[in-house]
Amino acid sequence: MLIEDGVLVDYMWDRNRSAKSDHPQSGNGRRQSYKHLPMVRMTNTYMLAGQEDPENIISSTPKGVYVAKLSGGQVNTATGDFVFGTSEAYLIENGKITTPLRDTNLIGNGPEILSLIDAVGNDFSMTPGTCGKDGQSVSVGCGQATLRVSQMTIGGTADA
Amino acid sequence: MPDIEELARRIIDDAKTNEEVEVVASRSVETEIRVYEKEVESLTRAESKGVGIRVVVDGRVGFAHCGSFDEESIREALESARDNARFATPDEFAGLAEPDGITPTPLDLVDPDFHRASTEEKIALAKELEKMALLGDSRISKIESTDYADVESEGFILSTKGIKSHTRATFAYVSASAVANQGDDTKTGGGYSVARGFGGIDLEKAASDVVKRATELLGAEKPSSRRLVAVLDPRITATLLAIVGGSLSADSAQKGRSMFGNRLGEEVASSRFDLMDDPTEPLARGASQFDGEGLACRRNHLIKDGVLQTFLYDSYTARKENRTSTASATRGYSSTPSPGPMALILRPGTKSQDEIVAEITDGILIRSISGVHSGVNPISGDFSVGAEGFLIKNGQIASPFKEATISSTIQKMLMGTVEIGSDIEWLPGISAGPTVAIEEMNLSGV
Repeated sequence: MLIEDGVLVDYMWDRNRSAKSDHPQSGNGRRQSYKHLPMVRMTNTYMLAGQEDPENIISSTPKGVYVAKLSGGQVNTATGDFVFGTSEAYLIENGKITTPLRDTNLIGNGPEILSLIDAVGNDFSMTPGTCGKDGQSVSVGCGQATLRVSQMTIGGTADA
Repeated sequence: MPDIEELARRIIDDAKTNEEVEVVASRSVETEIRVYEKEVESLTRAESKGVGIRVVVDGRVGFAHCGSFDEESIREALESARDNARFATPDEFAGLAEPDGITPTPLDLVDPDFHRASTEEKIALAKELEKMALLGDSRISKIESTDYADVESEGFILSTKGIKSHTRATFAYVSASAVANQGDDTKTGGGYSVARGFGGIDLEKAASDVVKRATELLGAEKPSSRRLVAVLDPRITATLLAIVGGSLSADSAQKGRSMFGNRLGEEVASSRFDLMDDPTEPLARGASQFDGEGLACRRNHLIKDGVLQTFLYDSYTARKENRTSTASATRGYSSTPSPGPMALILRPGTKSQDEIVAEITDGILIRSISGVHSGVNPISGDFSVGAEGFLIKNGQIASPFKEATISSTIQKMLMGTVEIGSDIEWLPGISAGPTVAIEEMNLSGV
């Protein structure tokens, strides 16, 4: 458990870091191959589902963006600043999904965005992916339900 | 690598009359040192070597490689390549590169003192950089990582076509990344120095870069959304050039995956824009005497006065268009060649960055971008990335900004390049360029 009821309760650890901080190991030492040194990495990371019907989350949103698919992104782990590219996104107008948007970027700060989550759906699912860090790629799984973030910056394009 | 070259020569000499054979061999030794809080966090030495063999019989290409210089493994790879060729679909354009008579440019890519520096000295250098960065500014709270790395690589290509090339290069760099704090605000920034060997490393440059980049944007605010002139720092220009260069591969163009497809001879950039791929420039990280098929590297003028001149070809893509290779084959021993840029250089202009900024009423100076791999579509040219930097007000650098995105299309950005600076920066990648100013960029913030 990393975050419980919105409170940060633990980090991920590998043997090295847990020994240094005298903290129990969590089994997160991972490496890409025999050519690489292990480091602390996520494995299957997921956020538990909530109660809300995803349809209701959308229908109760007067103005927003529905992001169906992300194409990847980049996170500065020291500051929490992130960008994620959208590869399928739509406008939400008066509670309805309307116009599709061209590929663009979402930008923000991780901890700030987490605190701005104001709705969590009941439609949990996991997605496989690849996570890159310090030149090493490992397979990861991510899971979450439909989430609503009350405000976020989205990039425009030249014709938007 | 004399032993293995002798073996390669025998394999070429023993080729059957109906087959073309190419042997590619390379070896590299890399040392990587990571320092954290005055101690060595990791020290890695990695040797990588191997041989790739391409066999072409009646337009069928077979390829196999082995990660060893062992004779038995190499002969096995030869037999596998022959065997693989039997299963391949015939392709009338398949074949090895033909020598084209172009003499290689003499290039000095090896530091003669490369082996002089001891591991202790390399560790001490990294520790010194960590210390200099930490003491460089009181707002720097932590050095996330400090690295020293060097690599020595060599290789050769021999073929039944008469190709015979040798390459050798050394390279060293240091880099560090720092965390800076001011009130609640946290920023990170990195700096580096690159050289052909240990002795050429410029610690002062690396340290001042780290300190400046980690601290300069503290207190940044989200900017208001609008359309304005964006000034790209040389590092950002280099990223842009790498995207453009990738789209200038003949392979992308022939497969209909280039934003520049069918645009040869057209104006694709502003008339100031002169882009070259020039591996004969020794200051470029990608400098090389030979390409991945053993042809002498040469300067290829890709965009001249804004007009698209050529794509980058290897021998296969060139044959498809009944023209000659531009000696742009890139590969390692474990892959077959494909054309691409090696040393993209945007020809510098005459103005300094300050002079460019001085002429801008409302703009931004972009110091770093993020999300390039997810935010840029090299086929359509759509461009949308995260950006940080400074606002420019009436010709002056004003307050820092953060958490914004800038967007446009690569096509519009090239046409909208209104200024090109004199300050070219040589980077550890495939591209280098100076400051550029681009009009009509969309800034999204609050």
